[in-house]
Amino acid sequence: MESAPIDWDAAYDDLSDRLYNFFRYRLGDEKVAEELVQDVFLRLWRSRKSLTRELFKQTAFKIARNLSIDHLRRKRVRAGTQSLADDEDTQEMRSDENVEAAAHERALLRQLNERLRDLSDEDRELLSLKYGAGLTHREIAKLTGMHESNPGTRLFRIIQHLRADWEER
Amino acid sequence: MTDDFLNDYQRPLPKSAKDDLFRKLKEIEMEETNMTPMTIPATVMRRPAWRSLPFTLASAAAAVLLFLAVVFSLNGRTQQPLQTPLSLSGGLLPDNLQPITPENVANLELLTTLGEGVLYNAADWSPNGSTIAVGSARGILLFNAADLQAAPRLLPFADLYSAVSISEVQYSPDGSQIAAVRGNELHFWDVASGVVEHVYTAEEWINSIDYAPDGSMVALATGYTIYPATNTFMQFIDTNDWSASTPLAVGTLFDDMVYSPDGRYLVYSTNRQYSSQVVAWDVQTQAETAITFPLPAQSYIAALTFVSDGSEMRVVTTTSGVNEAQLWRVPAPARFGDESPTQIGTISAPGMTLSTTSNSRFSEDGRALALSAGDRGISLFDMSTPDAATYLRQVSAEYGKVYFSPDARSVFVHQRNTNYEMSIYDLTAGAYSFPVKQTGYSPRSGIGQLLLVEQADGSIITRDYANGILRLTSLQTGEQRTLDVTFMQEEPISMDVSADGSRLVLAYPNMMRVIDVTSGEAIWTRQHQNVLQEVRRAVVRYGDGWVASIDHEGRIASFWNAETGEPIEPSTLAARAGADEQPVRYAVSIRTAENERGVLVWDMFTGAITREFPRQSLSLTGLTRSAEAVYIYGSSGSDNPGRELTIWDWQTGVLLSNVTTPINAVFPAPGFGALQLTNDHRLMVLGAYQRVVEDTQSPMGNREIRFSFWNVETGEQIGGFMPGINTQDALTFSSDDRLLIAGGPDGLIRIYGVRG
Repeated sequence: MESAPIDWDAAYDDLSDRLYNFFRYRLGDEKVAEELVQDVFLRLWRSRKSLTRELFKQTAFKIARNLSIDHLRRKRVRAGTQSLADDEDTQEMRSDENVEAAAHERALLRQLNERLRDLSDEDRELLSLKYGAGLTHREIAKLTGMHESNPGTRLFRIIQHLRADWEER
Repeated sequence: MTDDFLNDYQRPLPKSAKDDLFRKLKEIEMEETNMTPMTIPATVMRRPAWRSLPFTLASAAAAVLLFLAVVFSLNGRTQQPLQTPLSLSGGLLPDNLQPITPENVANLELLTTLGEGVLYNAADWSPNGSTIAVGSARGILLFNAADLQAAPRLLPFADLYSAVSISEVQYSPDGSQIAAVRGNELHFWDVASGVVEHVYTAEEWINSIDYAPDGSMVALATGYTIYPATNTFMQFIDTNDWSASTPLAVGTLFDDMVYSPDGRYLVYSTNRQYSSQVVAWDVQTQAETAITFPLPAQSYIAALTFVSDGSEMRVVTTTSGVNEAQLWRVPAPARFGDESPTQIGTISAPGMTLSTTSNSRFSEDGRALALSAGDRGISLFDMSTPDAATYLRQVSAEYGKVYFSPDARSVFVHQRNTNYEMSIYDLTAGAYSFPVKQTGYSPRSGIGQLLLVEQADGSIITRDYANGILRLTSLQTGEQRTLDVTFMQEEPISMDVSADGSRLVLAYPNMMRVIDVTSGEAIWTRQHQNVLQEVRRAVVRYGDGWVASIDHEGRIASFWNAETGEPIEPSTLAARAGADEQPVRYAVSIRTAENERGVLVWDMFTGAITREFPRQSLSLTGLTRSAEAVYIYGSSGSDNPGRELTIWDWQTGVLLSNVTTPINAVFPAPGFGALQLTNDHRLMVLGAYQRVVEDTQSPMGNREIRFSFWNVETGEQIGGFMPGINTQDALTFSSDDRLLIAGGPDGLIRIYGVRG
């Protein structure tokens, strides 16, 4: 059973935004997210001869998870508490017409960080896989090694937990 | 509230990123094209820098490594000589057990379960306030409310096959019965006898239950609570003859519902689409009526209760961004169409922002109120005057719930954090005393890893996956004790035990430790060598005088002297081993270079390739190995419709069989036992998700993980599944194949066998 060749263009279009948002939700940092998406594809590309189309997506998110762990460990801070979104100095210079939009985006990301900052790493990763990457519960379970019913149950609990914090802000 | 706002933060990746990336991909491709293929030099055999081996290999163009996995003797401990054969006589297990084989596996039975199992965040006070019932893996634990330290009484489940958690516990109004929700099951116990009276299995996940005031009925609401709500039904169970009504479709989802004092209505709140309503379900006519609150968007109903005579209700609402909650007078359901809710006051807590969560609730008699505060604490209020809320104090209930005593003078707080703290706050005469913190249950979680020590009476060492706590369980008596392991900076990610069971090696993300099992004291602790600075999913092995670790993700192993912790260079180990092959020496790579797919095994210390398994067309995703001869690897994952496994003879490379599974997923996870062989290599047990309902959004659709059995010689599945076990946790056969032992997400150890 030979696997079909990988269409990298299509694979990128399919996964790049998902990966990007996974990293944004997970790390709360759009610049780092952008870089890590590239890292994911570079690693996939280096292993392309051994990759199959069937495993592409799963492998991509495995790498993404590991990269996010690496990043967090390097930073030695909890996700979201030291993000570039909070550090105005590190933002790129933008053209005037983009300033407002960029400020809005930063505010939005800061709001997300604010809302997710008290979650445990594990919960935040789960939330990022679900709402950032848009993975199904089944995909999340397979990726994380959880019981397949656990992501749904745990996400429900997380959402319940977030209700208080979110609604009062 | 929906979870849509969680999606509001998604943004597209900037367009320029794609061009940048593809330019780099092109550069990499060009570099690779110009790379000269390399062969493994003979000199590598003497290179002390054995760590460089994988990089040398990786650079060989002929063998692109999908991933590199070192296969230690995957059952290193069982290969070592046992001091004393495992004895089962006189203990919990029958001594007439047969080795589990393809011929008798159909007779496999659950012999026993060991361990206390986890506590769930579901509890209720008995109507007389003397007892607190808490859901647990084994059933309902009845704690003495006056002394939480006292050993609780257990009302056991009728069966322990299922590992699904308990989500709700409720006493009947007269206290003679307890109902508990486990997934889609509703269990009823007779409190006096402790016997399970009835188990009702609903079509869908059960959200909420409530006893009718006279105890004759239990109403249950089903539906999946991740929005949007689906499959929302209401149903009634007669507690006299256990008849169940036909499920009635309801228009919305609700978490908590309450009977009116006269039993005529079931009342619940709904906050769908920012329209805050209290809905009453007429039990007799099945008609639904609702009363809507004149509230701005993003307002929510936090709690509701009937005043004591049932003539009207009190409802508390909160509004996003508003610091205070609102208290409302609401007519009884019969007057819903005639009257409107009237706001009669506001509720505030000093220095706290009140908000809505499921932790907001009235006491049963309506005389006390708990409201979630922004910092995850719970603010408590005296409501003995129904039209005013007097702030009393805040209690901490992170990841927990509060439960008022029937007289509203005490509150039980159960925090399901890593400590599983249970506390009772004593409330007296409108003023709260200092909390009396009592904890009567040891912290525990599901089992992350399980090791069998086969000496004399035998024991099982388990590791909690949530808190890393290690436990030692006697196979003979079932007695379980926590290993007092000190200096647990982080939770271990893998462990192994020496053959005699006296020493345990633990791999942490950045260190290795060997501990004395009896004392829990560390023998030594070492930082990982540079190459293993950050180990994420390591496998560790305790060998004959050495311990070793390997990162699953392609990095090479590290070795230490088991007694001293001194690093061992592979050349030293090789010299000592002489010509005798130490299984730990072998690194295994799966080659998937174009047109060349197969498995390479090489000696890590000499660099020599010692095995080469034939190429084949399947994509390879994982591998494992039985103790002696048969080598297995998964050739597909759940995304591959083929779902094939290939089994080869380790010694000869001869293909023994191909197994095609009809089930969704295969988890070849070396060292973690999702796939295990009996020691005679004739029977394979395979963990896989067994879907119950085709609904990926519902836990009902995916909730059951089961083991299936396969005849290795024929490649055929043998009938029968073992349900209720989390295959990701731990699974092992005893070396004589008489026991199959599994650790579950509910913290229980299940032991299976075939009687003679």
